[in-house]
Amino acid sequence: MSDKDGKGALAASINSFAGWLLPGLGHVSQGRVTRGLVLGLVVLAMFATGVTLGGRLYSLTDTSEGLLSNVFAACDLGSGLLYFLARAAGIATSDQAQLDTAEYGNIFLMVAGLLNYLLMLDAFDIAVRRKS
Amino acid sequence: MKHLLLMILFAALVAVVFGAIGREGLRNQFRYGLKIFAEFVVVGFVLAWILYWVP
Repeated sequence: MSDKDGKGALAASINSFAGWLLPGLGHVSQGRVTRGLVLGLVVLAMFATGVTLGGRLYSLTDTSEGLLSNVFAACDLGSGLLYFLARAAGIATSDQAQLDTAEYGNIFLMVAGLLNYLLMLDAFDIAVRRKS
Repeated sequence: MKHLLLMILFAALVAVVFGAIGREGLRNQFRYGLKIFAEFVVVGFVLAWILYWVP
């Protein structure tokens, strides 16, 4: 790997990390503003719907569902700052379902995180010119 | 009804992301997103009908 490639990969990684932290930022910072905003809003809408439906954000130390709790937490963690801010504010942290749609909420929250992981990878691919 | 609407909302949101990152060009992205959306909804209905008969 040449020095130029190494710097490019580092810049792409930082870009992806920014995209993970704030959904869509990885695309916006590369000039793909519309794409970044639309995709970021979709992740945000998914996350907000999950919270509204009474979903729960799992923490990495949670063991209520056994090993699955860690898988759920890894999915939730994909939302980046949204995850940390919500947990810090005590939003969606109750382990008792408050609404009958709580299971749907959990899925929306997890898929919001998984979609953001995809956006991260997409931003990385664009940064290293694997796709246009 | 709420469940159906949630399924449609879920399918729509996921379809937007898949469409946007899976294809290039607005037209191709729109068509691919629409295909993903339709697949989600149709498979959802099929699974719902199958599970209806499962005790």
